[in-house]
Amino acid sequence: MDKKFHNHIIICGLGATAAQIIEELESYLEKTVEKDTIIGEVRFRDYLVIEISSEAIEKMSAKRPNIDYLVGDATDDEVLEKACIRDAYGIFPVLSSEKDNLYITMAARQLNPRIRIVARTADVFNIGKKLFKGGANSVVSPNFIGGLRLISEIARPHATDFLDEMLLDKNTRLKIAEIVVPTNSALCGHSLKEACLPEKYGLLIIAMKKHGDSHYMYNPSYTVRIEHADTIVVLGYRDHIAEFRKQTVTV
Amino acid sequence: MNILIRKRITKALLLILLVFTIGTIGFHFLLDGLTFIDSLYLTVVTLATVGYGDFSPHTNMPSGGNPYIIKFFAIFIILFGMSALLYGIGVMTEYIVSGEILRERRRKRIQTLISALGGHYIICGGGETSVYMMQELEKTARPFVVIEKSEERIQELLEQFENLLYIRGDATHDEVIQQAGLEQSVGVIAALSDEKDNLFIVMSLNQKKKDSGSQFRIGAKVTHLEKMAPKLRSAGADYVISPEYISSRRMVSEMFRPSVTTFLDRMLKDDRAVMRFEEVTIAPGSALSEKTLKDIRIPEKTGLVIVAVRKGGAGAFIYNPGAEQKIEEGDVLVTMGAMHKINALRKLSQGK
Repeated sequence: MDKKFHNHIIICGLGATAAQIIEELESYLEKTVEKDTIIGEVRFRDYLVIEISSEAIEKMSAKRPNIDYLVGDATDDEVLEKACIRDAYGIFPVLSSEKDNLYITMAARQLNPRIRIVARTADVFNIGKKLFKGGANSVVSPNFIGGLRLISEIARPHATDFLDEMLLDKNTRLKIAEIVVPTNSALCGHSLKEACLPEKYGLLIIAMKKHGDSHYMYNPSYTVRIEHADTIVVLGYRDHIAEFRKQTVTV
Repeated sequence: MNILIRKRITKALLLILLVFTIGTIGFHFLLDGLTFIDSLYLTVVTLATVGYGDFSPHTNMPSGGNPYIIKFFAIFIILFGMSALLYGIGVMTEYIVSGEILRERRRKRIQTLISALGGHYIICGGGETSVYMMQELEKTARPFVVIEKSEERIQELLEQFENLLYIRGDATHDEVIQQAGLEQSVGVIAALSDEKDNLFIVMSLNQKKKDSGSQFRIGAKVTHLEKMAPKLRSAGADYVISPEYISSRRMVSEMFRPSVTTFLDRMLKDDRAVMRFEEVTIAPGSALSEKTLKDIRIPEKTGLVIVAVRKGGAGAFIYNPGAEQKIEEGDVLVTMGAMHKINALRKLSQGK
């Protein structure tokens, strides 16, 4: 492969998951006119697929002719080097074998400490833990999120609608935000009740994390005192959250 | 195998072996002209109550032998041997039958529990995705019944879910799904590994729903989204999910927007407390109906905050509803908090 890649995404294996990821990425790329696509906080330009079977590549090429391929075994470090893994932004190890994906995760982390690795596994408890240990930034389990989603849709359809509207709908102004209380904030030393979030800003306090704690307190009592570096999780309109954020900085 | 039964089978086999040994040795030394093989043969023929008569204490009585000793020995062998054999047969029969009886008793107990259910969920197929569904249902205190074909898989599930309510059978058979309390259920999920089976289940469920006027929602798991999802939807599925599809989307989101779902994700995975965004629907005659939020005093009664109200269960959400918001029957309240508090609110929302 002659083309040089930079800040790209590598997809290892061209199975059903990869095909779906490609559709997602393409839908972002189609929307952009500029040279670079910006998704979320990331500037990304292109992606390439490492696949060993020319049959799978041909099948995909019939549908999407302009994908960059690297024919080879993704569990081979040399192949990863050829895919410019040292300059890559991220990698999806989505081969059919869980062991191969674990191997790629470890190899990718070794070759590029900054790379973002998003892996998948059917077995969250065993393989999932190993993937994290091997250097994955995030591990997704189709069974887990699929099962949870089915129950959410069947057992609490309205709550699910509400969350979807908030998380996915680009037009919605509702948001969940985590606000870290700055040092010297006027809020410090006051109770949640005195901070009057619902009354003054229309914000609901759904959780709070005291500085140094690793766990959230959900539905915290209104008598809890706010101190600096505490995290307050609020739900509310975007502009109200911004207003409150501004307020927290005032001395 | 039950350890008690195994012990008894061993005991029976030892007793039988012992009686044959004593018989063989005894006849060999007490009678005349019998080899060990002949003696064993005589023992077997005696205990089998066959008695060919080619050898017997009478024909092979040694000259000068004491006939009483030989007769008492024969009586002992017959009585002791018969008892040992009968005992052995009994133990084996018990072993074969008891598994069946236990299974039958368990099935009856579960059937009684299921028939007492109402407002429960039915999961067709006990595969890997179903395990996570069952975990979520258990965590959020929702009763459920799983239908699974393989006894082996049921045993695996029982290891994870001690009080699992299950039906062993093929969910595509009407009477099997009926046994799961279909008419009283509130949701059924078709999650078999075979896509056509799921389609078949959804179609027959939809028919039943129309016939009986039941209100359960129908969900389906799908693998080949493009091919199967439209069919499942037109067959009557309220919701179709492809774990592959949503996990791929999720992977892309995790790649580019790691911070978006963090809080909710951590909340879902928190093992110390079960916190959820949930909903309750105001039933006719509920204590909460026809009042304003100020009058209902939900935060004081349950410790929960109402995040949003959806009037009549449709249309836009009224976010952070004010104290003057009127609540009527059919309204849906969206709330967030600990499951036991939400269940307390759900009780209030039900009719009297």
